[in-house]
Amino acid sequence: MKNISNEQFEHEMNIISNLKEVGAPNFFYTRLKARMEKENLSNELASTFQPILVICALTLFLFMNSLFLKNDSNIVNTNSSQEIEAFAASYDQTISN
Amino acid sequence: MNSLNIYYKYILIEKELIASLKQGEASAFKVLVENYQDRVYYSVLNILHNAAEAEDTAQETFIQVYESISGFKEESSLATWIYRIAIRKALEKIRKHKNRQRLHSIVPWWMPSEEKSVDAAYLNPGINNENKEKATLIFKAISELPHNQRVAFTLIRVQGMKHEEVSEIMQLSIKAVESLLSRAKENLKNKLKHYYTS
Repeated sequence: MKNISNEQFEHEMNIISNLKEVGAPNFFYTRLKARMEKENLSNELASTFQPILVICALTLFLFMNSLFLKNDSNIVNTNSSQEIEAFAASYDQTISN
Repeated sequence: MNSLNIYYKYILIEKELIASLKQGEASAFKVLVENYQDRVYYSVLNILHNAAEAEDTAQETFIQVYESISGFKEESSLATWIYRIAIRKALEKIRKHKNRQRLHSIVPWWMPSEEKSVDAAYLNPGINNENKEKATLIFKAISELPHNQRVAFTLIRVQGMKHEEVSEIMQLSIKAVESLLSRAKENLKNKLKHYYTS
């Protein structure tokens, strides 16, 4: 396939050169201002609520943790006495001397 | 236009405008936007080939200017600095779009397709009717160029910027810009030869 000559290329590129500049849409500044205000508001809200959210999440995490630990210690206590009894029974012995 | 705007537009020199912006004066920001909105919008429109995306990117550019004007060291002109931000934002948009397209091809049920939103038969509104078909083809070929070539070619050939300006905006040497332009031309010739020689 034949290549395009420089002259032909330059001639074709003139179609897209020196075009009349297209301006920004109407009310560009108004929309920009509205967007900036909206983003500011959402940033402010985020910075206000972020510490509250973090504290709430942390409190919930600690509460759940303590709940699980409490349950776990009960299970361990019950299990451990049952296990000792089962162990003793398997050797036909009692726990007390 | 109120008298304060006229004051800013015609009396204040760039340095004073920058100083006012650094002090967070809302009216100075309005003057800045009104002065540069058309040029910024047109630049990103020529790179993104989509009016909605171009407006969004132009807005992001001015938000970035507003947020980082305090860090502007005045090593380049205000216009160059703004253009640089605009071009970077436009390229970020293209990259994000390409990443989304890639993700869409992998997990189509998760990512909605956006293929129609960018580059779909873009036509610069300044093109006259008789050249519409050719211009659409040329812009499609430009949109397929590597990012840097696309930016250099668009700023120089479509917007008529000087090589020096583009080298400042792209933070490259003039030789590097010329090289990008020359490679862009060769790539475009290859892309368009099917059309012109058939």
